[in-house]
Amino acid sequence: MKRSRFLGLFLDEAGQHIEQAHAQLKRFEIYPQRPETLRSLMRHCHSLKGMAATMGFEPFVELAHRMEGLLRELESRPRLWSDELTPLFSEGLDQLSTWAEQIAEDGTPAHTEVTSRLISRLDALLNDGLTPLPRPQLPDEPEASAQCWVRLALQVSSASPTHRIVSTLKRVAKLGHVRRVRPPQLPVGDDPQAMELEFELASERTPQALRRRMLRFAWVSSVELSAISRESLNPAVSDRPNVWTRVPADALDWIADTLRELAMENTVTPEAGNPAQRAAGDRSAFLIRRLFDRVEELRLVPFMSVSHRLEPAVRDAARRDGKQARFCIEGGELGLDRGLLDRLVGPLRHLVRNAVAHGIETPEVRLAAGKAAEGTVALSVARHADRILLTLTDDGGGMDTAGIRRAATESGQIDAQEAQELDQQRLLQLAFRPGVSTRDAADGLAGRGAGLDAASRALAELDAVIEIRSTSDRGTRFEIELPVGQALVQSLVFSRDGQLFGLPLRSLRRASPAETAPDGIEIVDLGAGDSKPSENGYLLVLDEPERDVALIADEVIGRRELWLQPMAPVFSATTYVNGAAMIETGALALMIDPKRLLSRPW
Amino acid sequence: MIVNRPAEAQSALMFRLALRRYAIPLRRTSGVQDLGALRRIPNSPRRWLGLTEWSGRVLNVIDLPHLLGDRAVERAKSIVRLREPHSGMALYVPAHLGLTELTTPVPVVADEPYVALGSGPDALHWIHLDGLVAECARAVV
Repeated sequence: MKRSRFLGLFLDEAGQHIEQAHAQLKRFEIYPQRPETLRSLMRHCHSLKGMAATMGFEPFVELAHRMEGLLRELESRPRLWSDELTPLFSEGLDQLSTWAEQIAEDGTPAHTEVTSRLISRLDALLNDGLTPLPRPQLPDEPEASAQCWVRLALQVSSASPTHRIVSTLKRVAKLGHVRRVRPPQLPVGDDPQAMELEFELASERTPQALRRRMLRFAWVSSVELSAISRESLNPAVSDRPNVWTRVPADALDWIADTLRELAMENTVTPEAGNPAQRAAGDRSAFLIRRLFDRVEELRLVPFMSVSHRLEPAVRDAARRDGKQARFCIEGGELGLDRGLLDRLVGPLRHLVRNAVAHGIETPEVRLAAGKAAEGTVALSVARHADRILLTLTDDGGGMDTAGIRRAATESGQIDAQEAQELDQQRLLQLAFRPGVSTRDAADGLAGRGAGLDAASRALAELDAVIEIRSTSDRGTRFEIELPVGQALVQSLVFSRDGQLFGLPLRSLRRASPAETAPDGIEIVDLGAGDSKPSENGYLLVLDEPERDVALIADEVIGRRELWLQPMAPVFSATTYVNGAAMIETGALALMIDPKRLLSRPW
Repeated sequence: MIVNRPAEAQSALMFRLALRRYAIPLRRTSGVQDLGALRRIPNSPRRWLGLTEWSGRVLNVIDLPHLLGDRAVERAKSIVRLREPHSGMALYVPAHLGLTELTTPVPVVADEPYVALGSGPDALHWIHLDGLVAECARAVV
C-alpha cells in the first residue's frame, strides 16, 4: 500500500475520531458507568488502532490498543473505577493527537519516555489499579429538547412567496431543529400578500424566547406556538434517532460542482419556449439553488471543532512547565468555512501555547497570589455584523512589558529611546516581531521569538487586526478581529471587455448562450459602452425573484473558490463591486454584488 | 518603525507636486512601492484610481493629486500604503519621495485633508490622513 495515497484520509479520520473521543470522555467523566459511553470510547480507540495499523504507525497502534483494553475491562467489570482514568485517557488522546500532527509534518510517531510511562500507567491500572467504589450520585441527563408546533403569519411580496418561505425556514433553523413543515396555504383572510407557514420545531429555547426571536423577522406578523407532547408525536418521526453519516469534504465539493454543472445544463432549456416550459425551467433552477445552498451550509464547520487541535497544545504546554491549565471555548457553535478555520488553527495554537508558557503561573505562584492552582485559557468567538471577533484570554501573570522592551531593544527591533516612549499597546505589539522573546532559553514551546511572529503574519494574511491588553497579575487578552467579508466565495469568473469579474454562484440562476436571449430580458453590460459583446458569449441570468436580468460575459473562465477581499469602507457604497480576489494567474477579478448592481440605472 | 513622538518631532515622507510641497506622517504608513498593475473599477469616482495587489493583499488606491487638486510633474509612480485604520488603502503619489524630520508643531484642523505650514511656494503642506480619507468619502458620495 502506498502510504502517501491514504495519509490524508488517515489524518482526517484520526482527527475526527480523536475529537469525538474527547467529547465522549467528557460524558464519561460525568456518567462513568454508562455502557454506551464506554462502548463509544472503545469504538473510537479501536478505529484509531485499526487505521494506524494499516498505515504501519506502531506506537500509535500500541497506545490505542492499551486504551481500548482498559476500556474493555471497565465494560466487563462496570463497578470498577479509578480517579486516574479520565486524566489518563485524556493524556492518551492528546498523545495520539500529537503523533497525528507529527505524521502530518512528515514525521514518524516514536515512543518517548513520556509515552512509555503513559503505557506503563495504563497497564498498571488494567492489572491492579481499579478498585470497587460506591457508585457516585450522578446527575440526571437533561431532558430532550422542547418541541412545539409553530404557526407563523408572513407578509410576502406576491412575486416571491417561495423565497420568503425558504429564508424564514433558514432563520428558524438557527433557533432549533425544524422537523416537519406543512405546505403553506395562500391566502390568509382578505390579504392576498399574507400566508401562513406551519412547522414543528425542536429547540432548547423557551417558547417565550422563540416567539420573541421569530417576531424579530420583519415579515412575520404573528407567532403561535403550541407544545407537542412526546406521545402525540408520530412515533415514526419522534423516536427516529439522529443518524449521522460522515461525508468527506471532497464529496461535498463534488456535489456542489455537479449542482453547478446541472445549473449550467439547465441553460439548455429553450428560453423562447412556452410559458409552462419556462416555469418548469425556473422551478428546477430554484430547486438546484436550494440544494446548492444546503450543500454550502454543510461546508460550514462549527468553531468548536478546532478545540481538539488546541486543547492538547494547552495541556502539553502546562505539563512541560509543571503548570496546571484548562482550556475552554465559548461560542463554539458558530459556523465558519472550513478553509478559514484551517488557516486560523495554526496561529491560534501558537497563541494558546504562548498563553501557558508566558502567562499562566506555576500552581505555587498562583496559590501564593490568591488564585486557583489551575489557570484558565479561554477562547471565545462571536460574529458582529461583518466581522468575526476571537478573544483569547488567560488569567495568568500578564505580559512582561519590561522584558519585551529589553528583548526588542537587544534584538535591534527598536532603539532604547523609542522603546521608552512607546505606549503599552505598541509595546505589547512588539512581542509579534521576529526574535523578540522574554524567555531566557528556548524550549520546544516558546522562547525563540518566532511563534508569535509567525502567528501574527498568518493572521495578517487574513486581514486580522490584533489588539492586546495585559494587566500584571491578572492576565492577558488578545482580541483578533477578522472581516467576514474576506471569505471564500464560490464564484463564476467571467470576462467582459477584457476585464475579469466574479459573480457569487448563489446569485446565478443560469448561464445561456448569448444568441438564445429571450425577449424581454434586461441586459446589463459591464463593459465600456462602445464594446460589442463576443458572438460566442454568454448571458449570466441572475437569480432575482422579481426581475429577469442578465449580465453579458464574453468568456466564462469557470468556477473558482475566490478569497474575497472587501473594498475599503470609504468606497464600498459607490460601486456594485463589493471586493476583489486574485485568480490563479495573479489577475484581479472584481466581485459583483448583484443587489448593488441592480440598484443602479443601466 | 514605530514612533510616537510629540507633534514637534515627526518623521514624514515628503514630495512635491506641481503646485505644492507635501508631507505624509511616516508613522501612519506601512510601506512604499512602485505602482504595479492597476485594476480600474468601472464607473468609479475619479479619485478612486482602482485596485492593486501588494504581497497578496488587494489595496484601494486613492489618486492623491486629484484629491488635492494638484498634478504631477515627475514620472515617478509610487504608492504609499497606509496603516490602520486605513490599512486597505494606498495613496498614489506620482513624485519622488524623500524623508524629512518635522520639528515645528502641526495644527490639526478637523476634517481638512492638509494644513499649510508656513507660506510661499516652499510652504510644506502636512497631510492629515483621517481628513484626507474623509474628504475622499465626501467626494464620492
